[in-house]
Amino acid sequence: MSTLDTRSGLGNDVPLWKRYVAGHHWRNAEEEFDACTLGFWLFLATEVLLFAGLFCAYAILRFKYPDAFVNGSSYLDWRWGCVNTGVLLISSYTMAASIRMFQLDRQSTGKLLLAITFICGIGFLFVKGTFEYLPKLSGWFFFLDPALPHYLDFKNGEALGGLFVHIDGYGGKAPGQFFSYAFSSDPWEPLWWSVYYCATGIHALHVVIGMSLIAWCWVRARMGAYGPTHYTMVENTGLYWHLVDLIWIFLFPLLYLIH
Amino acid sequence: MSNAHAPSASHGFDELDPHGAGKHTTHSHHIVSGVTLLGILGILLMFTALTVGLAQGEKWVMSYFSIELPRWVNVAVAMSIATVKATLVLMYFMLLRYSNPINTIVFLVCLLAFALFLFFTGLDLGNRGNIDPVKATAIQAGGVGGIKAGWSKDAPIIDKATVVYWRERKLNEVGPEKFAKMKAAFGHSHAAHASHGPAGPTGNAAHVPAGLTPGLFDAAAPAAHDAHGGSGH
Repeated sequence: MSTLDTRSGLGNDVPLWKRYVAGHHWRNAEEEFDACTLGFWLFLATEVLLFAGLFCAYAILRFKYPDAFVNGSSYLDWRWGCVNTGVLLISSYTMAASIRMFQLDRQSTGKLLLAITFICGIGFLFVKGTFEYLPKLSGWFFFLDPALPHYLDFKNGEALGGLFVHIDGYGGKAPGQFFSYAFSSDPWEPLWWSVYYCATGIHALHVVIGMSLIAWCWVRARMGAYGPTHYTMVENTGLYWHLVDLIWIFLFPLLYLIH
Repeated sequence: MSNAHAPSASHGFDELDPHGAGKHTTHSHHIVSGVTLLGILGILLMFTALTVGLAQGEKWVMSYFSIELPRWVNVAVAMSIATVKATLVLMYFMLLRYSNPINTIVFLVCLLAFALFLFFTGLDLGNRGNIDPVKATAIQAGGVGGIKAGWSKDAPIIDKATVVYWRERKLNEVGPEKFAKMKAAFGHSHAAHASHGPAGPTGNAAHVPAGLTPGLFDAAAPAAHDAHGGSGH
């Protein structure tokens, strides 16, 4: 509330979004909104170019070492990828719907949808971290992992009272020089893991950043900052979140569905 | 002064906006209907199911008719569906359909830059990773080692391809019998994959991948090759 702008001449009993006044250098709020959105699209373009480098690396390395990629991809379970795709798509919907709610001044639904979007982000990271990154990197399985029963013959450790189970020899599927998995069938497999962790890791970082922005939007929304005439922040956060979804739409088939 | 202003006002001339830019601003504040948003979500989920189904279908066709589909089929199908999905997200969730066209232009220019990246890196694909005959003795598939095996201070330096090093180390640690068992168990974790077809040229790999000096990897790890052959595909 420290940034209270008194130029609107409205009192504290009026919601923040009604008191919002466009910057004095803009002709009107609409123009300010357009400029903000354009600026954000320019930023999104740089984000796409960041991932473009990774996609180029993917294209080149997959072309050079097709077997390493097919082989590497077979370690991933497409069902987890599918779950995560669904989670991100649904979260994209709730984000878009949340913007719509603020446009219609339906504050509580808008906030609820923001919260659901945030929770979807947590779900995505949980699946990625617990069922994919952790066992593949370290051999530690979450005890509820559906894959765990297949490997119990090689169990050689437990942690946190059985919450995590260690499977000998399963881990080590790490990128590049950190690779130490013993049962690989292709000499170029470390390259596949480098691409996999770079692509999904940078994507996951974007999920975290997106979630932080959504949390910030939620906090501001509680103050009544967004409504029909002013919702630029939610709109741009939405754009960022959809971009995260957009990248995943391409990563999912490229990483999980190749054979 | 007021006289000079009156007629221009009647013609709709605004001194602060001489070119009438304010009147032409596109409506950014378009509110997409709830039904549209839900519909798009439905279509996106449907396409996700479709792309997974087609990928599984390709696998089924390959194993049932024991044929090998060209790999580009897999890529082309998956990327076409992903492009349709991405377009829907861009148009309806990211509102490009309703917002100022300049945003779409920015995005398209960005895609053009991406296409340039791919094009120019693709140009030299044929010559990438070719091994000079002079160096061939010192180079092997999967790298030449020279990196530390692990995090600890006194970890040994790997003196061969990483994959080979770790395979041999595990083989020594657990013995061949358990090694084969483990390999079989881990290999069957997910859908069986028939990635190891004939070693020679196939429809999918018409050339021996550049950088892979033929036979080098086999020479470096004969045991590894046996273990692989016996993994029970």
